Amino acid sequence: MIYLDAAATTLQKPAAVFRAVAQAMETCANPGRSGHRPAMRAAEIVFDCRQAAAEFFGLSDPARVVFTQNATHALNIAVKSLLHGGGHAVISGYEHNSVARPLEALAGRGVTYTVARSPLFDQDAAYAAVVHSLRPDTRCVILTHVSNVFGFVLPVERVNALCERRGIPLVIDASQSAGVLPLDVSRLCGTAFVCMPGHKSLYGPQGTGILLCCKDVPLYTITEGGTGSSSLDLRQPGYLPDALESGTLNVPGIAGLREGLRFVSGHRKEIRARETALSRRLAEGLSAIPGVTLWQSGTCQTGVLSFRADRMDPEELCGRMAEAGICLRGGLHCAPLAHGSAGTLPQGTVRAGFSAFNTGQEIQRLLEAVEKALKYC
Amino acid sequence: MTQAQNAAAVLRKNGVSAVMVKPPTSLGRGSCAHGVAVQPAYLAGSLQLLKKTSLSPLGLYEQTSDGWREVLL
Repeated sequence: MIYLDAAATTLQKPAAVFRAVAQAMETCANPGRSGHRPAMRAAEIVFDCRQAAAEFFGLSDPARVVFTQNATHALNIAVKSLLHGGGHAVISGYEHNSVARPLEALAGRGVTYTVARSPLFDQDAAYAAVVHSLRPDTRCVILTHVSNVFGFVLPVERVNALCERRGIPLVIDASQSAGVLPLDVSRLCGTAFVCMPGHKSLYGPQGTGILLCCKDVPLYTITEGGTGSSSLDLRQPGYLPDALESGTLNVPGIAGLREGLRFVSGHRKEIRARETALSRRLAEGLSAIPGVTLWQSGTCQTGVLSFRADRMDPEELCGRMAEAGICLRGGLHCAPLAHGSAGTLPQGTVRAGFSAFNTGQEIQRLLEAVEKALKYC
Repeated sequence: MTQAQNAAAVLRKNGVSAVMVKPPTSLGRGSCAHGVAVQPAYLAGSLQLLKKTSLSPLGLYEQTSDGWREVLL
């Protein structure tokens, strides 16, 4: 089996991740509650992971690292913290439904938003679109670092500087960039929140996500409950991370995520170089196949490559590849805004997403399989 | 608990042997709080270190043979 759907989740993980999950399930109790050894061991693992994440992303205080179920959960907290009282938001034309749907859900509560549409692989245009979409009542800007469909790297640093100048909090969706691109929040002073999954390029298990709370903004709790702290008070604690971490944490997942973070901390540049090389090899090969269109940039793309065959629907082509043992994703990738911006609606594209575990041989086999599938259609 | 862990990490980084403890509920000021224990000889230095990092403790207690005794900050 050849797995090229890492933009959805990385299937292959470092062996240490599997070991850590199994070990945590055998040895860890509920962290932050009891004082016995299994509970304290769980608490140590959770704190270790907080520290590792804080260090990796340039956050000085590990308490500002909040564990979530996934990036969507983190984005919901961020969006609702900044907009639960109403107001206007600006989002890029490449946002996932994990941004668009919370905003739509808030529409009845006085929230409006502008999609700053711009052409694909044009960072200047993406920046200008955000500038032109700002209004006096804009309460936040939400920007994906990297498009999950096209791998387009958006101008996060420039938008961060803009937000800092205007005093508007920025929310970064780092779902496709965390673990691959450098992301140092100590240098992103306009950024209030960074949201990411643990199970993609951080190589943790599914069911893990991280919310980095970079600024002191009023927090909106989606879930209230036991935190193991301030127990006499029936109100939710207001301090981090307890305010946003009610109920028992996913300790086995966090134990695995801690090992994933160790893996990427030591190999981030090599992982990116490998993924870039594989993406280029695939792009070169696909370009040579008649009737295949691909969306490629030499300057601002990372992690994924989208393509389409003139004579076969993306989902059908993905189905053919699945029969050949190759895992890709077709369709709209939960990102109709991105497909709208790139002009790939309504059928979408086929997406290949790379990880540290893919090889050049796998790309070659994919190319052969695509060529074969399209030869007789 | 994370604040206590944060404090313990700062102390350990600076060479102070700090241990996470679960004190009696009555000391937790209505919390199920965890605490950080240090040897008396390191107390003053520890408090200075924590103050520098804005991690000042909510309460300070001495463990004696009779139990716990609050020490005024």
